Amino acid sequence: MPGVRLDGLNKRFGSVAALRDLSLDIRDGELLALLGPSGCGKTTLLRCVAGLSRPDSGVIRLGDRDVTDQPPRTRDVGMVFQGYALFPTMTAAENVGFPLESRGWSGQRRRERITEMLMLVGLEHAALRYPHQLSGGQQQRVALARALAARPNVLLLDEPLSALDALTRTTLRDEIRRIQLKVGMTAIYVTHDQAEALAVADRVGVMDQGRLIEVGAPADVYRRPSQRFTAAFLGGRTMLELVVDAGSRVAWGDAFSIAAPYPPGTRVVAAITPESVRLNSAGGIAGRVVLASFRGSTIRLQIETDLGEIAADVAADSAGAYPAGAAVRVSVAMEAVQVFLADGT
Amino acid sequence: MLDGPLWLRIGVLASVALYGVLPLIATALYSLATVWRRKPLPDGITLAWWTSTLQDPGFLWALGRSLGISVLAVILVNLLILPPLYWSHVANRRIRPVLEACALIPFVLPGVVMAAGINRFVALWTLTSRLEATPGLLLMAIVATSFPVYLWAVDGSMRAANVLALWEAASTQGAGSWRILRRVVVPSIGTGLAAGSLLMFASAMGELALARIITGSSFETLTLWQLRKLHGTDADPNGVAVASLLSLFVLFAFSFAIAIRNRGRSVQMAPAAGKG
Repeated sequence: MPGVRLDGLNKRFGSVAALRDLSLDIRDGELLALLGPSGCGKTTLLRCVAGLSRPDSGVIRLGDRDVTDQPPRTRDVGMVFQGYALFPTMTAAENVGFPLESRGWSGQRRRERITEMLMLVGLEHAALRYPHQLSGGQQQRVALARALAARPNVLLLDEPLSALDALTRTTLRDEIRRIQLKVGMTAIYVTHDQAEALAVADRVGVMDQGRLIEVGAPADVYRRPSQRFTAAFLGGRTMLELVVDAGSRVAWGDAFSIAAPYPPGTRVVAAITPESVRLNSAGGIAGRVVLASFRGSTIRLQIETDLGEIAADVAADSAGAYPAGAAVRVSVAMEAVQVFLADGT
Repeated sequence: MLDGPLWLRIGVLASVALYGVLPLIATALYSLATVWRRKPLPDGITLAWWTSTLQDPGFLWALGRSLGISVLAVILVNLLILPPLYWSHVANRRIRPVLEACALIPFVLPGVVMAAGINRFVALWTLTSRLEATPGLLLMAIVATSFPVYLWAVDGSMRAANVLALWEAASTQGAGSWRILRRVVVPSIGTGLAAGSLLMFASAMGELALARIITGSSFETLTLWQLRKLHGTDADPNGVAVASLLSLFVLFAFSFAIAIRNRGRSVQMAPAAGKG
């Protein structure tokens, strides 16, 4: 039985379609990340599941219950919001206890659960602090404990890390995943940050203009996206507009040439990940480094060629070899090139 | 922040303080003056006006009536305005223009016109005509005409507290709307509720036009008593000064209690921009 089943959801805001015929099954205990640019409908979808927005049509099932017409309070979900939404006049412990109180948990049982939840998020020492006495990361931990406290069927996370600094974001991201695995709860995690989505999820769903265009394991979605939008959105790919030649091949100078499943003359887009670009002393096509940006273990180079610009990743320790203006020769690992129809998605 | 040399800053602040405090000092001196003729200070000082006013049953009854009706007005405005205002924030934004339009009426129509209108309106039907010229009608009229001050103070604090976000968070945790109002929203907007209630209380204490036309001398409030003591055959202007100071003291005590309750938190009196 799926943890969450969405069937044919549609939602409009005036003339804007926020959700278009969206269907999705999320397995029990699975964490699905919804990824997409701002305005793609991912938060609307989450709010529909929570009951905070009502779809114009379609069915929402949580477990075996059709909850489409039910108010949020009876849906048995826990939700973590981008802005924490902690109750400012309640302590951390009171915040965590609120869903238990709402659902009629008795005093002793409630106290034990509050302690258990605060220990789970490592904040047992901050039980009596008010939200304004906690850091952003601590507040979001309390919000997570609060969302999990009453053992809801589904955990909904709406950009939970967006308001945090980079270090806290990484730490808390891993913590959320650890806790979700520990409690084994079905979860939907909305984010626009691809690194976050790929790191925490069992599966990633990519959304564009109200449609769920692709769902798959993080590695599959990242390495072999089936949709042109996903290829462009994930992985910092260079998207080269090319034409299938008379031999039914797609080529970018001498950098690569691969067979294409389209007739000659078809306009296509070749998607190339930066890590599949090779810089050689001979072969390929000639180019010049126009920008080098440090990314920790790698350097991202923007290389200008006569045929267009391409991004390439090289090891950070080779940075000295590629200063801005350096002449290079570029080729591409052919197995990494993906070709999409220029007019398709 | 005021810029400029120290003497200028002190001078400006002292001028503003003097402007605010001078009428109060003058009223206090007048309430203690034996006689005060064309001099900077009274001819002599006496507590006679204080003792005679505080022993005047007419004054005590008027003060009691005003306090009673003001407290009831505060209770009533909280019961009548808070729920729809809350609902307009969390569920139905269409209530909001209606509330705002109603809040403008007292500023468009003069108090005497509204008072006469309210009195005549209830007289139109047998069922409501029993309310005509009663303290109950006065109470309802005060609430109807003074609620905007409460509305704006509470509305501002609801926006500042981002009540919608709190409601959404609480409702996904199994709480119904009334529980959320009682357990989450009211504590979060305590300062705004207190400010709104204080403004409502002050407005009700100082209401004159409605009291004069709706109940008149049959239910003499503090303001009506003061009016009679200014112009009546038993005029007692020094007693009016005493009554004004006592009224001010009551309001000050109310404000002080609120300030103590909301230690360190600023009072949000005007609508504020929502959090992004």
